[in-house]
Amino acid sequence: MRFDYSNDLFPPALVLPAWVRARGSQIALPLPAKVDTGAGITVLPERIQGELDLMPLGRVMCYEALNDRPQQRQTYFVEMSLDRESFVLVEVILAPKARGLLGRDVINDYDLHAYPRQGYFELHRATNAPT
Amino acid sequence: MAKDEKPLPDATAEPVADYAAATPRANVENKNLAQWRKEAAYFDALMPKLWQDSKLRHKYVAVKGQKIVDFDEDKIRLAGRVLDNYPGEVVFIERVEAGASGVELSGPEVRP
Repeated sequence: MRFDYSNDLFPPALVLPAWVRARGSQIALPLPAKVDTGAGITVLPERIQGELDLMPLGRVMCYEALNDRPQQRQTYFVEMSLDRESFVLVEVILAPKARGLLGRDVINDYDLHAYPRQGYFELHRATNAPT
Repeated sequence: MAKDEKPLPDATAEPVADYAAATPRANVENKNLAQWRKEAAYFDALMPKLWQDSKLRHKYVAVKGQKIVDFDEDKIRLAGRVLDNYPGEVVFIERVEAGASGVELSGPEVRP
């Protein structure tokens, strides 16, 4: 899969169109998501909770880069796809953001090649990634 | 209405409709969150006992109705089963572990 860098962010960033849905649902919502190698967990906009009728399941202690105080957050599980065909269950936290952040929990199942000077990046599901 | 009396603006019409639609949902969400916190508190209280159980130690457990209803060494697999077996129900998942784990989040964005 090949995507253009997003110039909506400065400096330009790796943003791609992801799809999220509740477990077992056939209705998936489109969601712009920024590839974020600095995030240990994927983050979705809070509005998703209502739109997908999500319930909290787990919890996780979050350490933010510029905040010394860790914060405990509820986690939710959604099915996510980067190609709108194959969905995998992902644990996420919610935050008041317009776009999602694809954390290393998702990214690490992909081979990522970025060409910022050419303005595009490629993402391919790793051959040994779990199904 | 008196001659000089101005009619009230109808600015509340839509928000009231939104409020009416949103309130029952907000109540359900708050109730679910309160129940989820109860399940979490139950897990925390039970943790020393769970840690002694070699079958559960280092595993993820699912708590529902203040009972352990499922467990697995894989969190995603357990969450999938929980969502399939208890749709729409309040369940709490946590790992039976001695120390707390955490994840880091990314740094700030700048705007041009």
